[in-house]
Amino acid sequence: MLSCRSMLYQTIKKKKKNKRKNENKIAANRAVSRKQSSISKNNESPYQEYEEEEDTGEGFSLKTSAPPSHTHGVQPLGNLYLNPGFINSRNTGLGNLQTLTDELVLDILGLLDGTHLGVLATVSKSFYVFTNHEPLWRNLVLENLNGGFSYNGSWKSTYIAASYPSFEVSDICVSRLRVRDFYSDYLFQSWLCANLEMKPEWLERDNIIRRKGISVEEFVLNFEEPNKPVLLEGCLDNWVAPKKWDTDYLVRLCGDVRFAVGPVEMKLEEYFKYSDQTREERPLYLFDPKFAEKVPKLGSEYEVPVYFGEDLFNVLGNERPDYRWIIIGPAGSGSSFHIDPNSTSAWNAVIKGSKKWVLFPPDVVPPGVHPSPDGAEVACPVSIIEWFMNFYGATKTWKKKPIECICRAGEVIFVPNGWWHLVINLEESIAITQNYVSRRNLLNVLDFLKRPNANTLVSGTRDRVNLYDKFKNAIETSFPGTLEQLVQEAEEKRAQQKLSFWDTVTDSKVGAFKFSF
Amino acid sequence: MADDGVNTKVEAVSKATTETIELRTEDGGVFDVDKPVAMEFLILKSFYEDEGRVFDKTSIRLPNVKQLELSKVIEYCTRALEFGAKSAAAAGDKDAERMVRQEREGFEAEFVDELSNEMLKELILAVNFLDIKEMLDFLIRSVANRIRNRSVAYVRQFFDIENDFTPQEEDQIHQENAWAFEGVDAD
Repeated sequence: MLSCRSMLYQTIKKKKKNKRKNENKIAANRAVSRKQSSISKNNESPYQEYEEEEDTGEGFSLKTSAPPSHTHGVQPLGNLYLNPGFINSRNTGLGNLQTLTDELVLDILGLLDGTHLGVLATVSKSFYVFTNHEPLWRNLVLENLNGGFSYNGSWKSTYIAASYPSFEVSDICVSRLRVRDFYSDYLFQSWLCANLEMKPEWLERDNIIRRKGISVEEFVLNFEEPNKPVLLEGCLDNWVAPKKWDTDYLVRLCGDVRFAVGPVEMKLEEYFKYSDQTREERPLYLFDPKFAEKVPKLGSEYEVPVYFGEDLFNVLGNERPDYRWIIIGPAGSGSSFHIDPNSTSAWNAVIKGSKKWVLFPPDVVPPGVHPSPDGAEVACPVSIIEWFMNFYGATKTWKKKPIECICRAGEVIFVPNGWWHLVINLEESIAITQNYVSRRNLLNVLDFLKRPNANTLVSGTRDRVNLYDKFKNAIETSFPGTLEQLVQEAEEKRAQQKLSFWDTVTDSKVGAFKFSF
Repeated sequence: MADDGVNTKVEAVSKATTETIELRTEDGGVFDVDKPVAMEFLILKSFYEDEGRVFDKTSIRLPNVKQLELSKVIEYCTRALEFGAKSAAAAGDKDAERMVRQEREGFEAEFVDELSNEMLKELILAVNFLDIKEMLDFLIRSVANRIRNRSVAYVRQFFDIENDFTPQEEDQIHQENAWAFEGVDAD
């Protein structure tokens, strides 16, 4: 039987390669696919195959909550091969606009407001599908409602409920029309990524070193000094947080407090309401650097594990860059590949839930990632799931394999400075993370802050340009002689020609990081 | 007057630039394009800069671009660079800045007015291929402007779109989106 799914896999791969400048090539593919429609096949719903499928070979398994009707029946372009004589309602419904790519059509629609999108939905089936594309409505909500919204099943419903309170939203907004002959890789991919489960084979590799109860000296000697990641167990035994923090407790404590979620701030209670319901490719992530200032009790229910006690940025007092975050998010949320800012090291403690980590050392750029030459910009695939779908396989054949693990509640991962890392929540998770500077990476950090383009690369502080001077002076005041000593030690070490993690001599100073959601 | 001073500065800059690139379109057009303008096309810029090629006199073939589109693109990009230079020269002088802005808006309005829907769409495809972010944003905005606040009948006619809903489907969708039609007049 002709395999829809391998067709899908191929068309998606092709689309990824062509993504940059080849909309004409894609148009040519479509023309070819129309000519080839002499293959006859039953026009089954493509989603039936996915639902029945076990996770074998190249198949994907969908989240059990994924309802096909929600997508109006968008099919991948490859399926057009299987439907003789069928036209693509995407094209007939766009008229003159049909030669534009899906991304361009969405760019145009992205400039219109909610009312216009609602009106345009009635133009044709194609417009109906396009205007119901959830990311359009998400942008409208985030731009116009500024965090003061109550998530209502979908971004579209949320926007309409907030903007047209007189209409009975539950009756009216649900998109009920199932469009059967609309083929689009881009829109299908978007739906697929929003509804995919993590494949077991993406979670199998767990090659990080784990330690429990080691001394600080051991940690510094074996991991911090050589800049190697490690997963530490048992560090949270004294914390209050793992015993008390769950959704109910947090809502009772500070449900009304606004936390930073992507580009907006929203009430914690509303955030949980959203994260319970959302089914998206890139769910909004709660990531707040001022949580302890906003709710001091939260700050009091955790403590910095002993290994990371030395944090030299402390000398800057209130002027230090953002350094600690509470991180809350549903399954599928996380951070795509980046290197932490200011050349700091980090630790990340999971209080509830679990996270999959993939780490690459500083001198190895992960597959599918394109940092700009000065390190100021990092171009990554759209979503984390997409990275797993398209690039994770490459890591199996690379000589320089990544370090991977699943970090569960009660465990802490140490992320050495300069290391690339990607994190995805496997379930609803709550974590705390801090970035810090110890004597071991002090020189790196100073070097980083000294760079000519420091004012764009340095992050988490308002006073970028002067941070180098301030920090250096503060260190010399609080710890006189330290800098000199460290520089001397570094010289001695260089003289011994130490090898890097991958047995090649490289410059492990790598550039920056920019959070983008 | 501030305005005259800005203009003469810009002229001096453009005269100093003599390097050109030869671009060939798929329908046989040949264009000698000033280097700064050509470098606005990211597809060319990365061809030269990221890949470390030496800038020489070879002719470049643009397989997805036709004469008419390329000439429009060159026109827009050349003026955009000029406006950029004028803006920079006028920096700090509120009046001069405003004048440059208005001049630019006037040019852009005229530029897009002259374009048929078909031409606008072809331009978008060409500019997308050439990877010229600023111009693409401008063209996308222009299309959005043309359909914003328009009735369904207008949009269908404008883009030559067939209504492929059955009457029942159309009713159903209209109901779903009744909130959008509140108080919206025809056209």
